[in-house]
Amino acid sequence: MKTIKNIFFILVFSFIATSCNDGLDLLPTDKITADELFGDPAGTKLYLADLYNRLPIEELTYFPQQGFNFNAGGPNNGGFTSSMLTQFAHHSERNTFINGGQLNWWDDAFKLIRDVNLFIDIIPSLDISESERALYMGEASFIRGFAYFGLAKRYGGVPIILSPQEFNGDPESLKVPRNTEKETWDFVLSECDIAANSLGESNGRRASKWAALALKSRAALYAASVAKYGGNVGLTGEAVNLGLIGLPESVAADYYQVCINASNEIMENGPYSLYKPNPGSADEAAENLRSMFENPNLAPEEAILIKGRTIPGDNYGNNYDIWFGPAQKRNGWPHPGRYCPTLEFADLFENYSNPGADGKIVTTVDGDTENYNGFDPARQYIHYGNPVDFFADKDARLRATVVLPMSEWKGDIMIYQAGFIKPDGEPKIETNTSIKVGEQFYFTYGTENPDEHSGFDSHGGNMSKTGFGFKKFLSTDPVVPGWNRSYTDFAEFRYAEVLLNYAEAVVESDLGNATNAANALNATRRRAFHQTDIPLTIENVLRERTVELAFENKMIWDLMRRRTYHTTFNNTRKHALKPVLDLRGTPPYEYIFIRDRVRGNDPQTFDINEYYRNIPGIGLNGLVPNP
Amino acid sequence: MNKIKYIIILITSLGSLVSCELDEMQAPNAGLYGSILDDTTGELIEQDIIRGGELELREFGYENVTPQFMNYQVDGTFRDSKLFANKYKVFPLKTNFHPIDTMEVDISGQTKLDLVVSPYIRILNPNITMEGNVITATFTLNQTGLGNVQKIGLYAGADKNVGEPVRLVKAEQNVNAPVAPLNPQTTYTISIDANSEQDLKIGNLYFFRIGALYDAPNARFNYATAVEIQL
Repeated sequence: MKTIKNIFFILVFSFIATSCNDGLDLLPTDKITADELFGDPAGTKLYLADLYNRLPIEELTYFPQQGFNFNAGGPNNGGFTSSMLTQFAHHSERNTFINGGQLNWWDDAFKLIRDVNLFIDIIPSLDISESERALYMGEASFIRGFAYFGLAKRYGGVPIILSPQEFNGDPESLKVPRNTEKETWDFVLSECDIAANSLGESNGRRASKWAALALKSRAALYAASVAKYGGNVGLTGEAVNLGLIGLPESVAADYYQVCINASNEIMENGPYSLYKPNPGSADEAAENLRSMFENPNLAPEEAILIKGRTIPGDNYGNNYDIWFGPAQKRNGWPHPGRYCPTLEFADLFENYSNPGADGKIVTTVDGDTENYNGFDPARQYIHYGNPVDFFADKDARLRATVVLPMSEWKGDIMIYQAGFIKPDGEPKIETNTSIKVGEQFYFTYGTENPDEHSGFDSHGGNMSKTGFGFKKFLSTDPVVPGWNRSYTDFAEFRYAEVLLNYAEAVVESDLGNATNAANALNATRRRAFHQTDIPLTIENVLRERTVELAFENKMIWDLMRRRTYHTTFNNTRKHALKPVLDLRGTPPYEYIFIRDRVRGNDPQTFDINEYYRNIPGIGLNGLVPNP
Repeated sequence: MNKIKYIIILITSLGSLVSCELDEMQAPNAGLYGSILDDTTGELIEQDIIRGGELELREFGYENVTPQFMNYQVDGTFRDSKLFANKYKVFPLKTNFHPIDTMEVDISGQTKLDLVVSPYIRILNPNITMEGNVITATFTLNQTGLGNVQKIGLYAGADKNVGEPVRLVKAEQNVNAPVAPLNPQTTYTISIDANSEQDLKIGNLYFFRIGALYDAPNARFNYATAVEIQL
């Protein structure tokens, strides 16, 4: 028995000793080699689709705190968008402001760049025709240029890495110092050139020559603004001294010219135009625009590059409909109504009867729009039987973008009421109470049941604090009360932006064609049913840009690149327009509007160090930190 | 079964007791304190408590050292009593005085460091009075550099830390010109009408401070001491 046991053990040991030799040389069975992947055009397409998904496109799943593609299971981040960091929107629950934890994108950026570089390295060795090779190179350049654009606007100068790094055991050799901000922007623009020269006219949802030029126009405008306005901010430190952040003012004109040329190329030779540029009425204009944002596929003449969300579900859809629609239409979802466009936003829209100036909303007979002290019985308020009439003269884009108080949405009237004035003159605003006048009960928020109003009630954090609801990008179908059920597509580049880039570049630099720029500025206005043109001034261009590109995650970058973030936010508050039912006098009772502060909003000040994000991991990568 | 239960209890309690031991690192036991003093008058130079000047400390002995930043009190003093004892490079940033060279300071125990500097602007003869809830400040200015004074202001706040960053109400005037001694001496007057300010409630106590900003890169306000006024 013992010898059998011994023999058994010896056999077992010998097997073990000899069988392990090639264990470490086994090829993995769950990975494919580059040759296998790229040898098949379908494989290349798959690889590229993944790269496209990881582009820094700030669409409806982008949140400044969580970053891109935030739509995995249960993406509950409270719905804080980048517009809420500007003066044009407020969150329904609490204040939010820019800080070091927001707008970052570093690790994922360089992972994307490495994967593009892997692709670029392999293109020469693929078994494809020369024209296909050029197309792939163009597409890869577009992706790499877009990635570096996302980095440059956040961090300034970053390490420009043109080929995937190999680790040979020496970590020091992997450290790449930062390039200057100028080198980084020049690299972005040169990648756009390669893409524009190699790509075709259109390629479905993939990059085309025109998408590359639109990116070039946007990036050049960004760099030009930093060059022109960066000097009056006063950032100091090693990064400034080495040119890693900031651009000299002398290069602004060159970048403006690049923007002008790229935009002009699209305007003159591109197949694009505005969607429904000549509406028959303001209401028609409003509906055209609203439906274009609900579904940009309606406007292939305007959308230059669309990021699509074809199916709902975790990792596929977005959450704009559940987070941001009015509370009355939440359809069982517990957290609606987070997006509150502010009075500052509504004030900006022109009145048709007074084009060329901000249409500041006048609520009192004395016309004073600077008084935010709340209800004052000594002042005479203008009364409206139907509050929607109050906004009748406003640019159609206001009602295409926001839900106005007492306006119709999805078949019902959306009630945004902040309170009432009792018959004895005492105001009851933003407090939950009711009063009986005659035979009728009146409630401060319009109705007794919170499910039947959408404003000012603190119930659930679901109600607007500003008097305006959110409409842009929302579906007119009933809300599906679940995460990631929306699948609205997003036009990342559209023709309107190219026109406004052109107008801004011309007015800032006095280069280019001023007549064409004035036409570009007024084209988007005519599309909103304005009948009179306005002159090309910087105020007009900036106003038009804000109202046209509202809430498309572009405003915050305008504040950054023009260095107006710190001048806009210096102990600055945001304001609301509060519709209040005036129960004084005799029925029928009418509404008054009160210009007031947003409840719960505190003064906010922008720290100039926030113009550039902090570079992570500098202890390890040895990069020069941003201030 | 009981035995096993007791053994489990014994092991877990031993484990939790052992894990309560602190690490072997020493707590910081040194500190830096001092004042910012006017080189001519010897008085403290007032600062802002937030978004004001900073003292940057870079510790020796690290290759890519992350700088630490100390803030000042409103009255111009500073203190950080929890620093690690080491040699530091100390440099004041975002100053309201002419820049000085980096200092190397050996911090061990509570170390005193006074910065004797030349402020950009001195606010002389400050006088803040109130009549009928209108607060008026009068003062003259004196600058030590050759550039412009950017702006002057009167700032109202709820406590003595009032300044341009910490304020309820401000009243500012642009100057954009040099002041005395490069230009003739003038008396400046700034007023705040509390009756028309939503944030100043009649009957409460507020602090008012005169500030002046010099036109230099990253300059901060120079101040006169805040005055307490009951509305």
